[in-house]
Amino acid sequence: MGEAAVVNVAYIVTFGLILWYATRMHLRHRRLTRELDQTRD
Amino acid sequence: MTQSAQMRVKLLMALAGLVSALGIWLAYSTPPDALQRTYARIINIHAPAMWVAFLAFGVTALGSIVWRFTRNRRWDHLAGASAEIGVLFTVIGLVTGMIWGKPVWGVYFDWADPRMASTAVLLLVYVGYLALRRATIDPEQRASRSSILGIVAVIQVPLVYFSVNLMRSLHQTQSIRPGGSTMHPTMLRALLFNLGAFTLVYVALMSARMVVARLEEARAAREVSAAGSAVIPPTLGGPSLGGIGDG
Repeated sequence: MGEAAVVNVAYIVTFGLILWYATRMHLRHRRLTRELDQTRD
Repeated sequence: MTQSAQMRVKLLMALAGLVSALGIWLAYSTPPDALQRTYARIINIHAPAMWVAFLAFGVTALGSIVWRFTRNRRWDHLAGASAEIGVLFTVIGLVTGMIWGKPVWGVYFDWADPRMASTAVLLLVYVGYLALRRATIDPEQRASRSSILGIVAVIQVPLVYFSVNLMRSLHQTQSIRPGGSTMHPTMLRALLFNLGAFTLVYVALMSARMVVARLEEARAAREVSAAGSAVIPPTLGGPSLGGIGDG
């Protein structure tokens, strides 16, 4: 693997993990809001 | 609560994304290093990730201390949320360090190196902290137990940071010191900008995690109240007490 590719992998892993966590929080937020709305009804 | 909080989270996420994109552009526009060539660009994500991890564990300790004094559940949420994000950034720091270490040092990881070994232990301890939180159902007990670990575990942060000065290490010593920096101004500018960008990402993720924590607590409270209303209180002299006091 070339130098630039190694650096790119490091950046992709970093921002991939951050995006994965942010998406996980977003989905959990949506699920919890839905659940709470259902029980309120 | 949720509408304004949701808007705040969205704004922070958008801002963090924008600043991070600028940080990536700055990092890629730095000239190659004389010795490490383009691999040196990894420092712009590796060092900020570890900075955020240290900050996050510091916030966990702070939240734990304040919870012990106030018993306000909000501080426990802050401690738990920050530890979770700290673990995420420690993983990022370790992985990017390994990606950089292989071409520059010739090894992905070396247990004999104090910085690498102490960072791995730091990660394991905070994974244990998160496991402890999940293992305790009662919120008061969870806050009490995890606050002790949250306060004790933060001792590792200065140990990890100064391990390169205290022991012989493969890892380089600090590039930014109180007396100045050993880096070229262009590289230093990119690094400092990314430190700020990663801090903003931490703040954005924290705000999202705190909103989720409040919703989780609301759901738990609703479950408890639903379970409470389903319990039929025992009545004295009822059929279930048959035999007692009959004679």
